[in-house]
Amino acid sequence: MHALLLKAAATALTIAAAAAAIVHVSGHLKTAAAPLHPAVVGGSAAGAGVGLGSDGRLHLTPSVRSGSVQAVTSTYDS
Amino acid sequence: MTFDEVRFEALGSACHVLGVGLERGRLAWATAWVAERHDRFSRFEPDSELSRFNAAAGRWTDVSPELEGLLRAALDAHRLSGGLVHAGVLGSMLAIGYTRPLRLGPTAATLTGAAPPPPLPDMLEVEPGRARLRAGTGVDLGGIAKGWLADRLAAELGQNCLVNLGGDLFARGAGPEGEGWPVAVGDTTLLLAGQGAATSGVRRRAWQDGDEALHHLIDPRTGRPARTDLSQVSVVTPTAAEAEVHAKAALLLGSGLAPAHLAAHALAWRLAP
Repeated sequence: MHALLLKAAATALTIAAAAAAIVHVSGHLKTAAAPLHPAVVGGSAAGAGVGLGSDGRLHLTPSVRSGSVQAVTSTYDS
Repeated sequence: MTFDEVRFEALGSACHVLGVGLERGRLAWATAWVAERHDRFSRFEPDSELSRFNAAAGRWTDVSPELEGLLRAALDAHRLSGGLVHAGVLGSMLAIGYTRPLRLGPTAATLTGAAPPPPLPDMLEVEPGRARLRAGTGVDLGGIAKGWLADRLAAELGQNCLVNLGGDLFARGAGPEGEGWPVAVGDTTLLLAGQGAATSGVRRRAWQDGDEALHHLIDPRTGRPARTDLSQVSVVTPTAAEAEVHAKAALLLGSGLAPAHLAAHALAWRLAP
């Protein structure tokens, strides 16, 4: 009887761990913090990691934020 | 938004300095600070410290702490870019006709004189207070000076300021609204705080010499103007100096390799075909 209870408990624990893992993985199919998958600004759903702006492609890592305020200056080729 | 700003021409480019809560007279001081560096580090000024250093190639020369810093930055840029950002391409610059400020027009190109330079560490030695160039060579700091100077001016100017020297910029502090300095990169506004940005391209400083389309960005692998499928690269990194280096390296690498390089070195980037 004791062995049977142990087997049942182990089986239940295994099933619960598997279920928890499935839930966790399903919720993290893509993470914005992943350094090799930078976020995309101004893009369409053209493809993973690629956003097409009007004149180029802009990639952001989590260290840089975009904003809707008017820019006070710009970076440009001189 | 409440900030003070000044715009002026220096380093062959349009410059823009902004600050929040700056003491009276600081923007005028910043303008003079940049103008003085222009006079000292321009290769077009015959009496500049850089011109005198180039003229003394072959022997050890005393250099100011700032020129020493710039020369060390040139060696760092060469190392960080795997040799792609090379301050020792002065011979090629002169060969393609970039012998004077382009507002005066280029001179005739003699591309036979445009050859790949040796690795920069083989051309340039730097020790505390002095440096030596290999005889017959010279350096052009135009590819690294603006970002390097933007970082240093921002560090001296104030706690909340933005220094933009010809598009190579450093944003220090939280900006006018506390969210970072809003900076346009292409058609997007990024909020930069404690970060630098720079853009490198082949659209500007370009000209035609007979059948030859020339521009100022020399590929040290060929000694000639770069052939790249990108027209412009903008980069955000922790400093303006790094941004300038990686923007140039990415432009030279082209669209195939640039994303991998920038994924390893940049915080944000924009590639324009």
